[in-house]
Amino acid sequence: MPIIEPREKEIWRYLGYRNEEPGQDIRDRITHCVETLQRECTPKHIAREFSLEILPADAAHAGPEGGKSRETLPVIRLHDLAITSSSLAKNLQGCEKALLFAATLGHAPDRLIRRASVTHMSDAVIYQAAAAEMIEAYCDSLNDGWNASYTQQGWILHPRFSPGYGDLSLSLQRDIIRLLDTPRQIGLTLTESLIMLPSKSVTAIIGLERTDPDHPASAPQTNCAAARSGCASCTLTDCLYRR
Amino acid sequence: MRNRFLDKLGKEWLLFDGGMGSLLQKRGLKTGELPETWNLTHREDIIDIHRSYLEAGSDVIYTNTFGANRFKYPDSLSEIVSGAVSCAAEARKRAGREDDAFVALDIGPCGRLLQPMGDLAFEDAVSLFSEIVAAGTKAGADLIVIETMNDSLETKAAVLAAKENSDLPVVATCVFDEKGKMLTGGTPEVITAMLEGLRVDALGANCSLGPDKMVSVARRFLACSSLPVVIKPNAGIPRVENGETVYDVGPEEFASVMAEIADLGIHAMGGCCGTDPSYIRELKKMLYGTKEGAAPAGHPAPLKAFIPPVPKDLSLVSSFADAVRIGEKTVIIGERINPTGKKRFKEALKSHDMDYILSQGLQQEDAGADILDVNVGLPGIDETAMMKELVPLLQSVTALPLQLDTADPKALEAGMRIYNGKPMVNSVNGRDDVMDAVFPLVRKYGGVVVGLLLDENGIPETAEGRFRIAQKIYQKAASFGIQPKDIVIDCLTMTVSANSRSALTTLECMRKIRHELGGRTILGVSNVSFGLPQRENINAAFLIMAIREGLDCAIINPNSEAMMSAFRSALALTEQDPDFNAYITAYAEEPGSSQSAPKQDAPEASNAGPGAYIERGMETKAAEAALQMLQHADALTIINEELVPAMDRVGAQFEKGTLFLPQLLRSAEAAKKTFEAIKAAMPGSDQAMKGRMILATVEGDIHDIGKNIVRILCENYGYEVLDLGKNVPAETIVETALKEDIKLVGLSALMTTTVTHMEETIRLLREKKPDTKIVVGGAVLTPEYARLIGADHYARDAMSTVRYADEVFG
Repeated sequence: MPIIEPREKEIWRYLGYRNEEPGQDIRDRITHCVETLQRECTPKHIAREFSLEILPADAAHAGPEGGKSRETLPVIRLHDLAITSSSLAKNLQGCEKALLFAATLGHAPDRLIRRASVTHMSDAVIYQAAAAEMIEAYCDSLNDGWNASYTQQGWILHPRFSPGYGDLSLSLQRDIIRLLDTPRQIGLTLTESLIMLPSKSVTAIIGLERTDPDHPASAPQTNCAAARSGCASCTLTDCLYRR
Repeated sequence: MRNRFLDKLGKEWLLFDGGMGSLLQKRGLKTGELPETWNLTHREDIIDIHRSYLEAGSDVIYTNTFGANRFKYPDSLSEIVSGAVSCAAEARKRAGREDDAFVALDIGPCGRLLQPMGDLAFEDAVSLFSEIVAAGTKAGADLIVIETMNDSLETKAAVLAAKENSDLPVVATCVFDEKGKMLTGGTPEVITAMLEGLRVDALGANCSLGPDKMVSVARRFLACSSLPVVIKPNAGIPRVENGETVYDVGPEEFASVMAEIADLGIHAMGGCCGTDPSYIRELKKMLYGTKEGAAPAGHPAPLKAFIPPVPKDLSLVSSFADAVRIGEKTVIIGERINPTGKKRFKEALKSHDMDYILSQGLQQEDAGADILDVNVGLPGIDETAMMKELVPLLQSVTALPLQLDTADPKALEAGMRIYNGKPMVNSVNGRDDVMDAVFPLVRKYGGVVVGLLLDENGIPETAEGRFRIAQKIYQKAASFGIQPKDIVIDCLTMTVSANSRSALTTLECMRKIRHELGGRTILGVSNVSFGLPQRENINAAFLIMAIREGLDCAIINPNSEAMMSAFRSALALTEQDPDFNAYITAYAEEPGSSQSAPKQDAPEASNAGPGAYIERGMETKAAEAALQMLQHADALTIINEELVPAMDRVGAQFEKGTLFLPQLLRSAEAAKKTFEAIKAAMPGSDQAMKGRMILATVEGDIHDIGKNIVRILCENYGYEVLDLGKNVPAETIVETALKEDIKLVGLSALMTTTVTHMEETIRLLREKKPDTKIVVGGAVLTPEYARLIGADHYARDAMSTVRYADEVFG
């Protein structure tokens, strides 16, 4: 099982420290919580490639049953899905297929947070922040691995994009969970209100664009954290955690 | 047909089938398509697949119902299930194996996580599985297979559904990783304890691992299970090749590793993901030496020796993740979750302060308890409801097995039913009416039951008299099918100051139980010292003597260092602590140095008041300083001049952005601990409360960390908080607000999908209790959004809730 190395500064950021550094006592607790998480987490992931097609807004309009709002939005056809979202369409511009993926740290963070909530709430928020960073770091490391192998095969990875970003509906979670069979494959489930459990989990779409050998940098850059996690293309500009 | 399956199970090799999904995909099933619809639309394909397994040698075929449940088939479940059973039965007919092959109704996980970690209620899961069981039984399945289970609690729900809605045999197999762990923490030992208790007919593992990694899982099952063991591995590790999933272990290699597993002594085998009939054919060859394509009917004598299941004399209790073996070494059962003689605990039960009760459990775990006794019986408390609520809550914060302690069979059943694992049950005694009420529950749900040596005539004076009651308990248990290994005898500790022989009588009785009946024993020791000074001296000495007598379970207060040092020393002296590891771990460090408390800086000024320590989040120092100050100041002065100003200072710094959330919470924890220390030293010195408020996470939302942060701060700033928890229906919030006449309600929601429930709650509150103010918070909310759904105030963080409360109550 992979050991996930979180970025300490990201944990501080989740805890609300903006430009300051926490004192030694808090940093000791962070170290303790991270070590516990590293020992107890059971990271798992699953990914699958699907071909996709983007129908621009006017083409999507041609569909017989498009409602009013649909008429002005592009539609992404991905396997058996027809996703209406302009932010995702923008993100996937130029891609002919996409990697659908889901990753989770398992049940340990939820249990540790719950347990700490009874004994030391200050530890609970640290577990919460550390685990939030660890699932990001885990996704980044998976991303890096795919980046390496796809680049070799002549593909470029677009920044990963998750349900809830921009105008991409959260209800897409249901389809991702179904297509990847995540309850069985990695133990990731959804509640009726679309909450992922275990809670330290991520689902996302990563567009794959064929590189043009003459114009290698035609796609969005994937080497900065913000691009990788999709902050740059997200419309929730007032988000507390926007980079 | 049913008896024929049980006639063979555990008596000869049984060959199960292999994967279904990948075969369906080869026939055109698309990714994400619901495979079970094919039971109605592609019957011939399904029949064909079953038939190919039967012809390859499978004795048991699984119906195509893995994902058949009401979530996926709200309107057509029974058709889908009966269609599946009829396909399997038809295949059996066509294969000419009506006499010796069996149709197993296949039940997979429902895809949702059960409470308390998820949102699906346990009884909803039972009822969901019951529908599948009822439909499959009616359609004529021969047995029920519950498989690919990741969660022990969901496994239990499915087994109960099977047992309550059918007489068919039940086989249950779970999924383990390379370390032998389920996703929710269970191990082969944990699962065996629970499933044997629930009286399934066979158990084991399937999916996830290839055969090589399954060897150690199989070995662990065989070491603890008295039941037949089933192993169905995947065809190795999957990888995607040209868009198709392929597995790296071929049929011959698969069979050759399974030969190793067969030699360990398992009783049934098959394959899971990636396997097909060619794998089963190889297994058949491996077991029987038949050539490919040989007639499957009528097994020749096997090549591989078959070893019937071996009964194990193991007394196991378990939780979802830990199994404790009784009889191996003396274990500690923590006695502190019990209101008897504990004012603070009684208060917590009455005010529904679940966190206090949970903290009592965690404190004992940290102190070294192996099992926690849970007793919530108190006049005026609905014990059944409390048991049902507390058991899952405890199991969401601790993996220690629980001992359910109640005299009320209803409360006992409520606890045993929802319990995740195999509990201890406290208790029965020699009275027939008590045994008639409790033994059927132990028979149904499983458990290790405590037998008290008393009956309708009271407690016999002599060891012989008590011994006779023990014999009666064992006999009566046997008549319910409960084995001696699932009974521990309490020889009863009497007050030695009332009868100077009584301690010796108890020890003598223990000796007889152990030597003459081979029984396990349990003892609560603290009664022995009643009426004597320095009771811990006597208790510790008696504990040591009982351990020397072979005591298996000591019910003590693990927070008492005197008892723990006696316990650890006795274990070290009786060869129960190999290499003295436990003793050295406990005492090699300096006394008083605490391992779990956060490291704290040395104080700058040695005579600092509690306020200064609170500001720095140093809880132990703060409480100590407050106690010292109590010698020359009254409680109220300390609270008003030290605690409250300290919290005001950190609150202000937090708002200015010079101090951050973890520090704010550390200070709040220090303040809380100091309040409690003052309260304990000076009973009645409660902080003056500024007001009472409700906090709740709305229905559908199960994130409660934000709400919990708000709670601890509001409490520290002088508010009494009625914490209704998470996933709280609007009606509950409104009812409580009306009943308790609450002026301020705080609601939390994290998801856009659950804000609708927040809006609904606000609407209902406005309608039924218009004078109540409502403050809302949570990740997706903004001031505009809060206004839009009708809240009075949007709180961006916990301090802002406190400030708003000050406004409302000020």
